[in-house]
Amino acid sequence: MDTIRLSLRDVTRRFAGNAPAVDGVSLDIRAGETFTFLGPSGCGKTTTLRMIAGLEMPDSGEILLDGEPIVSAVKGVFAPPEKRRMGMVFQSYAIWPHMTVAENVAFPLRVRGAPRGDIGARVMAALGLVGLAEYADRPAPRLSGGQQQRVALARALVYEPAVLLLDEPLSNLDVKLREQMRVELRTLQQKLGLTLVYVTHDQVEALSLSDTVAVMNRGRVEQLGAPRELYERPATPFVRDFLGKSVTLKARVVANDDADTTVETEANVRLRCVSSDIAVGATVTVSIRPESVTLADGGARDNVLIGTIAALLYQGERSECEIRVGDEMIFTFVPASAALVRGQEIAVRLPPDRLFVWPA
Amino acid sequence: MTEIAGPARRLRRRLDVQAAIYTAVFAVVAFFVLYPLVLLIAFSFHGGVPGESFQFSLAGWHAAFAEPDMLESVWNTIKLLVAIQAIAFPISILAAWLIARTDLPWRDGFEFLFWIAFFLPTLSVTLGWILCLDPQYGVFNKLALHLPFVSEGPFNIYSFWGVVWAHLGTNAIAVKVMLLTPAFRNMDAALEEAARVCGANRLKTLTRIVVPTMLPAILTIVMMVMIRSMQSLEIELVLGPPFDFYVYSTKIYGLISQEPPQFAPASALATIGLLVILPLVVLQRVLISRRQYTTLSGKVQVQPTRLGRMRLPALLFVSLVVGLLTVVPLGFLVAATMMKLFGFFDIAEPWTLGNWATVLGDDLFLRSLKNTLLLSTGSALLAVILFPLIAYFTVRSVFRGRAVLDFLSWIPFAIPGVLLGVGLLYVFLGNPLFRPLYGTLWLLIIAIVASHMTLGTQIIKSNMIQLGAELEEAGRVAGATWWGTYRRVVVPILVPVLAVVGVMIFVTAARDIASVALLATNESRTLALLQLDYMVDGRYEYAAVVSVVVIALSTGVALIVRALGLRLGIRA
Repeated sequence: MDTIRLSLRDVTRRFAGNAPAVDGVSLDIRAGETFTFLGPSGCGKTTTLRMIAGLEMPDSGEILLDGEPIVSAVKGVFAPPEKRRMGMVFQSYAIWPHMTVAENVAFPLRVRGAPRGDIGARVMAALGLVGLAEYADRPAPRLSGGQQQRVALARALVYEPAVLLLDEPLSNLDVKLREQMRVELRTLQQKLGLTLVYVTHDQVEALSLSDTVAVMNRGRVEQLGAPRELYERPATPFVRDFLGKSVTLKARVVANDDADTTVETEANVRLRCVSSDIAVGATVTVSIRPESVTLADGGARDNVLIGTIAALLYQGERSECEIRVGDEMIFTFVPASAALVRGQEIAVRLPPDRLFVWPA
Repeated sequence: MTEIAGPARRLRRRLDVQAAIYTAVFAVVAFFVLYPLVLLIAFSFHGGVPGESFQFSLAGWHAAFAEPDMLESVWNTIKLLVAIQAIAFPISILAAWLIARTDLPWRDGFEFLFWIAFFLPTLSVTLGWILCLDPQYGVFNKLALHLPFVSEGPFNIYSFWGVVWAHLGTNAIAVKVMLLTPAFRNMDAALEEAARVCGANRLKTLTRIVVPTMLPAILTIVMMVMIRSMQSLEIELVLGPPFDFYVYSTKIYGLISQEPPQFAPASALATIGLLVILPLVVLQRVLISRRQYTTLSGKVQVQPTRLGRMRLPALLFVSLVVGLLTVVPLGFLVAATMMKLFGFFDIAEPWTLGNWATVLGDDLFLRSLKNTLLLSTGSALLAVILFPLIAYFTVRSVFRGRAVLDFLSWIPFAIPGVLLGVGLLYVFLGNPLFRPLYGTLWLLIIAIVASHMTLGTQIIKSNMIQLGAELEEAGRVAGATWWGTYRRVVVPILVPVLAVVGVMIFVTAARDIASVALLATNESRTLALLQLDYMVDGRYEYAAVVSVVVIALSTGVALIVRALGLRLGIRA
């Protein structure tokens, strides 16, 4: 599990006249893991993937596959895409329209000169994996989006590549199909022990599919870690906001020790937060994920805010509850069945181990 | 009831305006296309000359089949088609791919040069190549004589391969590169990239993915060139007779232009040609309509393929092709305008401006120039009024017969220019009502507009379909009449594409030979025809001067369009 499959060393890519699209990215991808590049459009995630595939050449830095450089600006190495033992699923699927499903999947084997007898069996096995065995003879254009996606996956898997690259593979599918494919992809990856490099702008996709996520912004990796770590302990405001909603309040640091940092809000409420090294007296922002905010029962006294319900937005399985606290608004989720009304006074608790301090 | 009757009556009146215009457009198109076509076929069974009352006779058909070189001319047409396309296709596909999909240096510049090459008049480029490859005084032959062991000029443009060369040098390659480049550009780059990641190298990707994916677009062009191969006239007209080489179109031209004109056999030959072409047109329409669902959706990513070590050879290849299409023939053409006797560099004072002075000072030239300008402007104006109406009625209206109108607008694509010319000749000679128009520019304008109806209408139609009906419906809902909506919403939106069509017609009218050759008289002769006359007489220096003027006229206009940022092309 811990062998390094792919290494990126200070990889940089500039497009003429612009800020670098990818700026000094260094990271390791372990064999058998799902590694996701997550970020908004234009953050350099797709360019990074294309450099790994060999479709794009880095201006500097190097990329190693199993310890061997496949591209290195210094050593003048550039392995063309066809020599890299990689499979790729494109955003548009790139199913060749002049071939049938089976011909599409057989193509990688044919260009590798696989024995004719083997090809049929391996194609059917790959199509079986993605549940399309009965579609083998269908012309590629007569497939739905979801089916094209599976063909693209089978085509990328059929030659057992060292790494499988996926460029926003689910973004062209409708919501229901996307959720189904997410589960199938994760199951398949774990069953076959695939090394998956995944690019997406959808944080739910990234968090649910990945072993490791690299959040990218402006060509740099903002934070790298396991999904839970990123979500619960984001290192930068960008990561915090990109991965999900948060509640923020303005405050001032009044005490700071190893155990926790204490702040005072503008409404003069003292809140204990996760310890940080920000100096006493500094103006800060404290943040918490809305689902960590709990309704305070009678007993709790610390880290409790009192406010009034400004709006209740019914969302089906739960309601979003907007609460006015002094001049600021916070929100949380309450069970749809909760007996709350607009204008009612409400007490919420912000658990100290979920409350983070950020420089204002 | 009265509240309903009022608006209903108004609605009917509005519809009547639309119906009246529809009827008028239908009548004009039928007059331009159907009437000549029917006469063309009818006259093959006519025993007398146009204008005389009809007398049924099969003499024309007998004569057509008895014509000594008839079969040979058809065979020559086929041989030429195969030879030209077998060479032109690989070159064009490679050049278009290099321009559209790779990191070839100066690819935009090359695309522009192919575009220029497309607009160069066929006859002018042919003349340029005659000056290079004439067996006696062609420059290349003269140069070759300086080589050791060469005792006679190795090149002869007056030969089968000379004709092939002239076709390659004029339209055969340029038009394909122009049509294929945008098609290649619209192809989803991921299709290529997927092949590379799957393990195919550059060559395998090109031959097994790119070309097959482009096959529908390529097939459409194959059908087009097969249909158009019968239309080619001027190259064979100039290069063929010296070695007794005739093709289908020059055969018909010869029958009409000899004294006395052999109308009935020419019509019979024309009818046979139509029977061959019409199925091809139908087949091509089927191919085009089927192409739509083979195009897969997907974001177009333009990531040029890296040529690596092949960059320099690719650059040399494209430069050579473009150079042979433009620089070489044009260079010698310009040189020829300033020589006393082209090809004779060793006479005393070979250079002169006398040709320019003579030609430009000649009344014949000035009249032809005026005719050309009137013809080009008139054709462009008529086209820009008529074609959008045809397009509108076939795309948007619900009138009965609009499918027929659509079909009528396709017919000119199948009729070689010479045949349409013959048909129009019958219309204007045979009917006393129209006879006064014979010998005027009106006749030529009708010929030009009719023969380019298909392409012009198609371009406008595809734009109209892309726009959708809602913009227009919004105009109606907002309270405008049909005509008001057409005039104030539909036409203004189409202005860019109408400009393209107008310029296209202007340029083709200025250089056209095939459609107008049989219709022009001494009074209505155009510059292109004057050039043809000079060439047939062997006065190449004068012909070169006229050529340069025609090129300046057509290319100049094409450059203006380019500057306006308008482009032509088919979608993949």
